[in-house]
Amino acid sequence: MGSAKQHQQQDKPPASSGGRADGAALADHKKYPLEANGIELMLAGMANAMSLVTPRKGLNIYANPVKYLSVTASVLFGYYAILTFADIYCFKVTDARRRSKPLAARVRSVLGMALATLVAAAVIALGFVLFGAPVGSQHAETLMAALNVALLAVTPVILTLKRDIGSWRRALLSVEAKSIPEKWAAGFFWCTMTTTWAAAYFVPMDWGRPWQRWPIPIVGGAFLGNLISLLFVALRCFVLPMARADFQESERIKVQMTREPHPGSAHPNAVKKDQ
Amino acid sequence: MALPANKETAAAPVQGNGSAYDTRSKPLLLPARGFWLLSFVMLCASSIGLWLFSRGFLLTRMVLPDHSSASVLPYSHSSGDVAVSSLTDASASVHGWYPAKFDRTIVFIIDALRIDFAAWSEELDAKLNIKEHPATDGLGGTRHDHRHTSRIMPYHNRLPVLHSLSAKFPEQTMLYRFRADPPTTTLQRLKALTTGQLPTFIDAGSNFAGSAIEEDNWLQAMRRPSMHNCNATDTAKYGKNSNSCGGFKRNLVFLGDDTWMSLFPSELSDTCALESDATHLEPADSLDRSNTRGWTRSRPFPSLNVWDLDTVDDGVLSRLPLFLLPPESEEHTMDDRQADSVRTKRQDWRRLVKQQEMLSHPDIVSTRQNSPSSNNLKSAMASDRVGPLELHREWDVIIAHGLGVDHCGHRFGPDHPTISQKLSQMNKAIEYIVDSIDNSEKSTALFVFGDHGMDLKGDHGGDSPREVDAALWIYSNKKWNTKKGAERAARVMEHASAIIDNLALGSSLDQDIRTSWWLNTHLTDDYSSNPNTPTLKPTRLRSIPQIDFVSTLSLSLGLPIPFNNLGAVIPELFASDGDVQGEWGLLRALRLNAAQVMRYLATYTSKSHTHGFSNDALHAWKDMYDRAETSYRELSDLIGQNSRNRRQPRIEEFEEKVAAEYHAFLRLVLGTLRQMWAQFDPALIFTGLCIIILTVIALVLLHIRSQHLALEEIVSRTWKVCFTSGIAAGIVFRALASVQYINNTMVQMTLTDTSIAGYVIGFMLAFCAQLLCKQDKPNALQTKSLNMCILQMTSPHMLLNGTAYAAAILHSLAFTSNSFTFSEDAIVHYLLQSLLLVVTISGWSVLAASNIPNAKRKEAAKRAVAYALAIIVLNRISLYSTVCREEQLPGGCVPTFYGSPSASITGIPLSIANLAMVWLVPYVILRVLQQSQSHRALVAKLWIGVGLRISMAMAALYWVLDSIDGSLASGEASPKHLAGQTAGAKTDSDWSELRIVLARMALGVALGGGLSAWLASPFCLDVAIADTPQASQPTLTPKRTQSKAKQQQLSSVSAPKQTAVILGYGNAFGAAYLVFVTVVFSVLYVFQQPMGGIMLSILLIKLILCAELFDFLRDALTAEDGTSTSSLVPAQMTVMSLLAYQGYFATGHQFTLVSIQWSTAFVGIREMQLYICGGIVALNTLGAFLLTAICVPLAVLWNESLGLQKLRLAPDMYIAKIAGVGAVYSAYQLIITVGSAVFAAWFRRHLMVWKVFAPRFMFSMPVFMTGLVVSLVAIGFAAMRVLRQGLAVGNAQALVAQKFNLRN
Repeated sequence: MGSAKQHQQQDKPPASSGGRADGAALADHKKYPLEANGIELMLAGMANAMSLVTPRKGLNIYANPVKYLSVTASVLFGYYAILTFADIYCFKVTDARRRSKPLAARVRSVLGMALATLVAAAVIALGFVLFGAPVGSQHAETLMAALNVALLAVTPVILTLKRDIGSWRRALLSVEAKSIPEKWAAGFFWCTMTTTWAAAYFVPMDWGRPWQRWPIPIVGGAFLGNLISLLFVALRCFVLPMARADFQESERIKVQMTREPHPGSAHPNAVKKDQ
Repeated sequence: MALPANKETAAAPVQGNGSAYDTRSKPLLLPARGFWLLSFVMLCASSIGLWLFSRGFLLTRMVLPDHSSASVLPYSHSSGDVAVSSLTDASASVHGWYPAKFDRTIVFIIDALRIDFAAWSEELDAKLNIKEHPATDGLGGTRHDHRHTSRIMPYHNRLPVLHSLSAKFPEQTMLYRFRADPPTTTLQRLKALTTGQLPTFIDAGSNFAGSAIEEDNWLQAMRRPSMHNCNATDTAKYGKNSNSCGGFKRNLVFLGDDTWMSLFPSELSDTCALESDATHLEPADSLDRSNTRGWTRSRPFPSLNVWDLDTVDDGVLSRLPLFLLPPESEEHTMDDRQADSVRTKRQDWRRLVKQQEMLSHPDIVSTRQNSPSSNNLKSAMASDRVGPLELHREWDVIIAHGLGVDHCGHRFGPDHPTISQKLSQMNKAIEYIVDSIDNSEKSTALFVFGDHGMDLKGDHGGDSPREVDAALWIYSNKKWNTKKGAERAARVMEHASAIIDNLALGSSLDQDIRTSWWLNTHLTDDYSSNPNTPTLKPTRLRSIPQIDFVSTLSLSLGLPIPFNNLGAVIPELFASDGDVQGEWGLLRALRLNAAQVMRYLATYTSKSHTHGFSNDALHAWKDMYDRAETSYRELSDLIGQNSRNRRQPRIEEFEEKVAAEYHAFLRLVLGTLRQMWAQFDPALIFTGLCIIILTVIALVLLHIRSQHLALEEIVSRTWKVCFTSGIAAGIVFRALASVQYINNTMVQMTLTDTSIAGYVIGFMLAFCAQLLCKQDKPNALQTKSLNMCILQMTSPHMLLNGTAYAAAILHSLAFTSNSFTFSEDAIVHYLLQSLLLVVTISGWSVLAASNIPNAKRKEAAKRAVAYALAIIVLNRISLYSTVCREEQLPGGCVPTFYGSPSASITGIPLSIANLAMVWLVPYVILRVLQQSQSHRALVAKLWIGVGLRISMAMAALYWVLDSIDGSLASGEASPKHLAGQTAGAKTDSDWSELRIVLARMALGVALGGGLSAWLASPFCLDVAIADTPQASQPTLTPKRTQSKAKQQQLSSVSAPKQTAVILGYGNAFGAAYLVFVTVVFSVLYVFQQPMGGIMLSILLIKLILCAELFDFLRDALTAEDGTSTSSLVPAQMTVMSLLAYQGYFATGHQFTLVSIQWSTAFVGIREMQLYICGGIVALNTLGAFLLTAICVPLAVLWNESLGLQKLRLAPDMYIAKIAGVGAVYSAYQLIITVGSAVFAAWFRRHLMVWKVFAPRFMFSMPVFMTGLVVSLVAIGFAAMRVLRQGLAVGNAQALVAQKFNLRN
């Protein structure tokens, strides 16, 4: 939420983009096959897995959470940076125009993504503090946790919705009908944020486990939420529309078949009779 | 909220119109009867519910300070006749209670030793194929039923030594089922095992902080200085065992669980250091033993780390040989064979220890002392006066408490193979102990027992059969359980059970009280699942209540029975003593025991009038005791008549009969008291909870109904049905209570209770049903179609209210876990921030919505978002102030309430920061009032501008002086410095006089100035003749300038150029009520410590912001067509309640008794006055809740303009609306109370119930009562008064006219 506000204020979109983009996005919805690029789902899972290396001697989240979280953050950031640089993040069809994007523009988009993520991380860190995170100590932990949560929850939104403020609003603040990129963004943002919020459940418990130290449950919740949202988003943005389109297609064929009987339908019988 | 334009008033002459309004509005009285009636009903219902619940839940027992004395026997001499006293009392003062049966005693506690760990099963043994034991089974019949198969658990038959010894020496051993009273936690069990008492919820009289046992117990008795010395004649007279006769301090050794140390800090304090310091005494004289009498050796080991299976056991087992085996230095005095065997035994002991590094501790590794006597090996256990040899020879009692089995259960569960290793280790240990006892020339008793059992998962604390059934095994190297004695004891017990079964009260007692035998069903695995087809034939075992151990141990040691003991002696131990001071040993022991219990009961009933014993019970006890005493007198007559042949079988039979009567008396007392003190009353708890929950439902329904119905109408519709159904239900409940089955579940519930409960339940059920059922006016839910409902579900209103409900439920669910109850402050903060975040998001979604063109809504939404964010930030600031519970401290909680973590007096910087509030609070209030121009009114200027500032300044100054005094008193050099400065010893008394004056003046200004100002004229209204530029331009016609905020302008006919502006019109009611709130605030502010003052000020600001926030949010969320059916009241009340809780925590409180700030009791008074001091502490503690409850009416009154049409047209409906808000606020507090009550009852056998759940419930009662009563009173008096005054003032015209009349 906080990050959404930030971006709405920061990235004022060009005046014309709002309505047209909505229409285009809604039109995308009806297209079949989808123009979605599913590679990042796979890659995101891999990035999650890579960033969550098992704690070992040199890189132990219990011994040194800041170091560990900075590693996970850089893995995630690298993943996003590659996708942004190659311009293959969500719902991009590899067309000639995009392939010929100049290098400077690509670098600029990566930098923009980084900057926006940092701002989001700052807002989320502020949120942590407002929710009761320690102020006088453990700054690095809080900031690192916020950076991870921002990368998991907000960066997909940044990359998907860009500067389209109407989409941001629809995706994050309303229950109106959404286009597929908005569903994608909303899924990531809300799933991850809710799980992060709910993971605070474990903080006050007196189990005395090492993973109950300050940022670990929160970040764990964010990673878990991100994984859940991967599944959720895959279902909502890929499987369901495809199934729906398949269903519609088959219905259409059925209707056609009932209306005008297939000329060849009698044919096999005839063959049989012949035999 | 601006007043709808009134065309008529704009043109008509003011005077005439004003008077017309006056006549119309004056007689309109606000109907308050329904409000008060309903308030009374709700208050009664909830207090009856809480009262019933507390009666069933909070069991109380008084702790008596009396001690049994060795020289005073418990018989009441007045009742006994001459013959009795001549028989018994002649030597009583010299010989104590009962001659010691054993010279020495070892108490070896294996924590969580369940009965089936200790019991031996031949059948299972055959399966285990262990062949080392003979086939005779001393415990039960030898049954081989191979058709059934049973699982062999790793704990079965792992203590073979008990069985083999029982078979070998049947007259020296005995195994008992040792039934514990719940809660089966080690601390509670140790209390019971030493005092002989039953656990209750509140042991009234004990201090809450310390855990040391104050009641009389056998450890105290051992450590008590000798009353008289034993002489040789006593020893000669009373047989071979009686060289100790209860008159000296015992030498005590304690090893193991450190829980003992917290219970007996003084009794178990190690005397080692003390003795080595006493160098002026001559070195240990081996002849003069009385000088070294009374030493103690304690080696506690940490008990809390349940993952550590070995440390405690190893600590115990490594140190036991120091006492049981002769020291190494003595080996040269023995012959070679002896020395060799001692050495091998020592090696055996050493092999038992799992952690071998434990053996290198200085306690065990003896060092060669650099003293002239060369062969003196010395360990850290020994001291100058008590050398290693004395340690071995002189100990009287060893208490060893191993935790390995219990920890193994917690860690792995009883089905894990580790437990068999642990039990085998214990088996070895018992074997070695028995071996050393056998080698000792002194008669030594060994008690091996578990303080409780464990359930299927290996945990304990509850009252399930597996948890309460522990084992007790007694062994001694002398015969104490002869065949004849055992037979006589068995006859006594059978006779006693027959007596109890014939008593009226006896039938309701527990089974294990009524009979002394028990079928060991635990050995069969399908315990309680299918009792008809057990896989193993259950064996018959002796069964005793656990507290029987206390009187048994005391008498067998020759000590007096502890004063508070309720247990009976174990008959077998005394039945074999043929002649003790002229009577049968068991008879004497039981008579002593019965007399002691009777003395305790008499003392208890005389000490408190509310002892809670029923008359039936008192009579039954008295009758039974008198019956036994009468029989005893008959017996002594009989013995007196034929004294020559007293061994007659007839006399023996008579003796057994009398003993059985005493035994029956003891069992009767224990059984009835167990019901009273150790049993919760499920019927009371359940009915109490039902009533509270019904009240919650009624409050919520009342809120829903009050939006459409006047309270008077609700009352008139419901009262007939409610009363009749209440009476009917009362009768039904009373009838039900006599049904046998239900009657059995009622422990303390009386028939009056059932009638009252039935009446209230019937009344509330009818009330709820009446409110639920269809009314004449259609309500929202009934008229709306499903579609509309679904549409409404997605509306921001529903989102907000739904989140609020979720927050309330989550808050009440926090009591499901002790961790959550500990950190309730963090949870409240978390829920509050989450709820406010949702508020922000819903406000933001309005702001970001593209399809709302209405600029006014956007403006309102913008303000709502800003206010919500401001409250969020202020909440975070309030979170800074903390007082930590002791449970939170290891979690990194740093108390900041007093400025520094270790101080309990506020530092000067904080109290100076508190001075800033003097400026901040009036400033913020005036700024808020400025929005409606109310700040220019006389009340606002005088009271808020001046009076409030003065009052707060004096209060803040008081606390500055207080902290200066505190820091001066703590500094060591300052008294001299001060004395030099002011030349007198009265310096601090001068300060304190000044402080008292300041505090009283602050209160005086608040109550005298503020309250009277508010009573005189609550409204912040002012009429200004606008000398605006419009007025200077005569060309402009009188016009209604569009009010920027809430401002109403009216034309004045008398001067066409001028415009009369009523300032503060728009928020007239809200501002007037706010003035009242500030008066209450300034009173509460005096009693808050500096940090609390800051936080209370922030709370007030937050509450005002909250009123503003929800007002704007309502504006922002109201759709264009103006149809907003659902209110935001639940969300607002939840936010306010959570703010109250946060304020409570921020003002330096926690829900523990230790966090109550008792020091504030003396603010403004000189000496202790009970009620005033208590009231001040209550104001300090409940300040946040009070302030919030006072602010409840603001939810409706805020930004209501003076010309409120709703109020004028239907005043009863308006009152109903305010009352509904109060109902929601009370409902929230009651939901939290219900949550704490439900989970306190649910966890009533939990480890933490005494420490966490019960105090939380006890705190929730005053919190709820404050919420309910204060919000109702605030509505009933303050809000009503404001509304009434508002109606009396009449209309704007009247106001202007009044003003002009005054001016002209």
